[in-house]
Formats: sequence, structure tokens, C-alpha cells
Amino acid sequence: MNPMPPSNSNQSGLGQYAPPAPPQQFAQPVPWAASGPGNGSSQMRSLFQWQAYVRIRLFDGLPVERVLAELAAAGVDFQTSRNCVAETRRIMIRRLVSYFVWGPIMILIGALAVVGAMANMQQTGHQNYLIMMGALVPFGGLYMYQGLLMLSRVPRLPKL
Amino acid sequence: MDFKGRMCTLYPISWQGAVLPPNRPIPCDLAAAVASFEGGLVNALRAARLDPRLPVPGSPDTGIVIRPQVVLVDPGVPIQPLNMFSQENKVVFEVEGLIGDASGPFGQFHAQGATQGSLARQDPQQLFVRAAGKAAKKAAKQILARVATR
Repeated sequence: MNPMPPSNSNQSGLGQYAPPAPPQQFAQPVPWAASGPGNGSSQMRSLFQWQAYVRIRLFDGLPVERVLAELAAAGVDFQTSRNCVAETRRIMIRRLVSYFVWGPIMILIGALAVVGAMANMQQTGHQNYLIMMGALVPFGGLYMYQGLLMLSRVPRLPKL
Repeated sequence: MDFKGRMCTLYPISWQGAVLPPNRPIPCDLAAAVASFEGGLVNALRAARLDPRLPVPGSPDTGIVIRPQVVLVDPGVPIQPLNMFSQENKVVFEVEGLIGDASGPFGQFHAQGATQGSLARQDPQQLFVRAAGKAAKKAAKQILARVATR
């Protein structure tokens, strides 16, 4: 884990901000925090922060078992870890939608353009530049292929 | 929403437990992004006629208390021709926090600002500043909505 960035506010540009005082009448902002791994040092993390951690690790291509082991080592209970993985899974699947919608649309438009252009070639003296739209076919194919690669990286939900 | 000069104690943003991607070092100073977030939040609260103040060490908090903290700072993957349209090269600045008063918290907020550079424009500091500004606007909206229903 990288070293923490500037912790406050003297460098924040707003000038008048002083370093935060320890809370007196206000509860800690992280009631559901657990101690986290970080770079080996113990630190408090909230649920959103654990979700972000799991998301980053899984998007980096780490196997879900290793991420779960990291969370378990940090003292996060299994149900919370599972919820974090499920949330990441939802985000990954939501991102995949565009690949599987726009990919086939590009292929369809490209294929129709090529068929239409070639059907009209005799009349236009082979001057129908609509055929250049055929480039959409491999582009859409690659786009869908990228979606498939991403689909293969969606983690399985650990069993209860 | 008009809160007519209602007092508000806004704590400086906390980095406790913030997530930074282990494999992708932050390539710039984040002070400007923090300033953008805090400035954006203060401006939005002032626009709603709240009166944001700093906490005074040793004295009790007054009015509405807002304690933001960073969730995630992600510089994203460097932009290359092959991943231009990928979602993974977005710069992300994500925050959360609690809203309360002297008796304790009564609500929370969670906002994420994300910006995507281009091949021509990918200065990380500028992207972080823009992402933090977006996060501040979203956070202010949630805070004001929560305070209005209080």
C-alpha cells in the first residue's frame, strides 16, 4: 500500500482549515469498521472502504480466494467479504452490458452496409463508398471479444 | 433549499483507511484534489445559505456536523490507444462521511467523482481535481437533502 497522502488541510488550499480535532461529542465516522491490512499496519476501514479495496484488487486480476484471505487476515467476517465480492461482481456485470449491446449493433450495421453497398455496385460503377462501413464488423467483433475477456474475469461468489 | 445561515461544522477530510491501489502509485500531489473537494463542498453549502465553519479544538461542535473521509483514490490505468474506451482508465475520487449534530450522527453520504482523460489530455493532477470537484457536488447534494429532511 502506498504511503498516505497529506492528511489534511493545511495543504488543502482553503488555508483556514486546521488539523482535525479529536471528536468529542460526535461518534467516529466508521461504526462498522474493522482493522484492515494496508501494508501490514493495522488501520480502521469502513464498509465502503472495504468494498473499494475488494473492487480494486479484483479489477487488478487477483483471484477471489486471495482477496478473501486478505480480508479474513484483517479480521473482516466472511459475510461482509462475500457482500463486497457480490458488489464488485454487480459492477463488473453492469460494465459488460455496453460491450454486449454495442458490439452486435456495430456488427449488424457494418454487415448491412456491406450487403447494401455490394447489391448496388452495378448501378454505381463500383463507386459505392458505403462499403467502408464494413470496418465496423471487425471493430464490433473486437469490442465483443473484449467483453468476453472481461466476462471471464468476473469472480465467482464464494459459497456460504 | 435555503437554510438561512444555519451553522455547520465541516471537518477537514480524513484519510483514515483510504484505499490506494497497491499496484498503481499516485503520480501527483493530491493536495490540489483535496482543495478542490473541500472548496467545492464549502461553496455548495454556502450556496444553500449554510454557514460552514471549522471545528474549534477543545470546544463542542455547533450546528450540523459533517465529517467527510476518503474511500478510494484511483489514478486508473494509463490511457493507450487500445484501452481508450475502457472504464478502467478513469480517475476516481470517492468519499463518504457522516452528517450529524451535537447529539450524534443522523445520516451519511457517499459520493464518487470519476473523470476520463484522453490521449491528448491526461494530466493526472487536473483529472484528480475534476474528479474531486464532481464528488464534492454529489456529496453536497446528498448532505443538503439529508439535512432538509431532518
